[in-house]
Amino acid sequence: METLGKKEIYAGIAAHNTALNAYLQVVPETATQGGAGPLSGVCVGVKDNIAVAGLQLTCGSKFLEGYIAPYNATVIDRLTAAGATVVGKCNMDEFAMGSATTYSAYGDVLNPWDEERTPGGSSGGSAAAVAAKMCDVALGSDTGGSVRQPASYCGIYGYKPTYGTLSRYGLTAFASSLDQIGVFARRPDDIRELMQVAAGRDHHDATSIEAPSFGAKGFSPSEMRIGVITEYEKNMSAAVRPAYDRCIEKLKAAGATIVPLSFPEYDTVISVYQVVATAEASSNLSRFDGIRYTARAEGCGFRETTAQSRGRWFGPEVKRRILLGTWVLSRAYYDSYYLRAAKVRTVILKRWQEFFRQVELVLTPATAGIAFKRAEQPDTFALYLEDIFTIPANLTGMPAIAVPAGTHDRMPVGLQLTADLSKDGLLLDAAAWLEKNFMDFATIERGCRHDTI
Amino acid sequence: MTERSDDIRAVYELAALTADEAELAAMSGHFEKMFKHLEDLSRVPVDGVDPYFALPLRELPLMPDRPERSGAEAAIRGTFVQSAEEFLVVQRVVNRGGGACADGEEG
Repeated sequence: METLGKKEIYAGIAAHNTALNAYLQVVPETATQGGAGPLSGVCVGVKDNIAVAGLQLTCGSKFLEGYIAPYNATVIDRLTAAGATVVGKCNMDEFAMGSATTYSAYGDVLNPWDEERTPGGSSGGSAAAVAAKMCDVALGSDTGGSVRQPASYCGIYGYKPTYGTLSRYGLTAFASSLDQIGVFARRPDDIRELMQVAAGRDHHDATSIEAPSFGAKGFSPSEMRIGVITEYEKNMSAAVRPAYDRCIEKLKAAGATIVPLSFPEYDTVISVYQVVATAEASSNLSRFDGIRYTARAEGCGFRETTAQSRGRWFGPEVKRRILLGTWVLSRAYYDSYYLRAAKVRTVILKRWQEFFRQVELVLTPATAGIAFKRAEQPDTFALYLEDIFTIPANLTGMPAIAVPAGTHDRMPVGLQLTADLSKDGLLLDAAAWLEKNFMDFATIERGCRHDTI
Repeated sequence: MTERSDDIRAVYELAALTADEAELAAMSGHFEKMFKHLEDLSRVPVDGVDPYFALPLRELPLMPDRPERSGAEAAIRGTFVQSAEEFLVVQRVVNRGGGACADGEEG
């Protein structure tokens, strides 16, 4: 991996972090000591919901202010064993719930391309840190698109591996059947190198799997069938359409076969996600009770202490999701909402399994448009719709990557490639091919530089 | 107070959350909209479809029946001591086998 070098990275942090608010905690340069190994010299930013022993773990919440992680997440153990250095903890939407990093209890993160705009979310700090060259690579978590959407808004690569490929041990759980640690990088090959040391079975996480191949076998478009979803094409924005069309033309010219696919359930994915994710979150976040961890409000007895603490320190979006999750799991609503959503999830999974009997990859937009201005943030409900293209990969467990594909209105536009389970290598090979043959990297490179805007 | 508002109050209690009246009113509007949107789910025919509660379990070999050193201890000792030393104070070790305690007292 081509690293920027610790000096340049710390100079970048000193120059930009006050404005961008990408890091919540920075490890002093003198305290960092990378080791020998394949990632020697690589500086990593880590989303603040992933445990790094001795560093804070706030999950972007006042509830966990001052909490210090007592152990390393498995991914951190593996990266540091390979020589990488953790440079800091990245800002995020509270408990990874949000699409703009405006729900952090520690202030908004700004987009390095345009500070008036959001970097996306919930891993907005990680995306901004990579785009502004305040680290070489960064870790985020992706439950409904929280790596791919901010990567798209910040003009970098954002990769969600096949479910189970990266151990979730040490990742604060939001929705366990959807959560997956993901990677931000400026080059797809950087992701590949990181995955080669970080992926694989972990006895701390029963859902972890053996590492698949991470490619570098080369990508031959003429041997590829690339699926495109007709329902998405009918509803694509003017901001994304030109980059999407250019990409298809490029792939066709290189010999790829473009296959139209129909996804009639495409607009139900938000509802399935809202029900499944919030149901799981309502259970996972019950551990924040005012008794363990940090903040505790005064109350009379356990129930009142718990309710007062949770009522006081959870932010509004976290409360909305816990409430919805509790609601859809309640006896009167379980069948009509939770059980039905779980069945529709099966239908969606079968639909995507069928896609991958017809094609090797599916190409879609990563987001509906470019990063919106923070002052013009859509309402809560409209914000949920931002994830319509990214959620299917979480519901199905399939790997997906957001790739920079050009600009619109001087802001980056991202596309998304999705592959079948454990075909992560193919995905990274395709992203590397697009980087070389389709993307104007120089434009992206200039745009990422916060100090050149 | 609408029926939905009463529901919200009950759900707040189930979720172990407190709220004032203004928050309850704001949530009421949000959930009206949300449940309307969730009606989408009824558009997809699901007769005979099995629910999908978790991703299919792969065939995983059973782990050996012995404790494994995870490396976490080393990680804690390596980085935690400096920042939160007080949490690592080890209480005196008591030998329950009838011998002397680690600090020399009777067990």
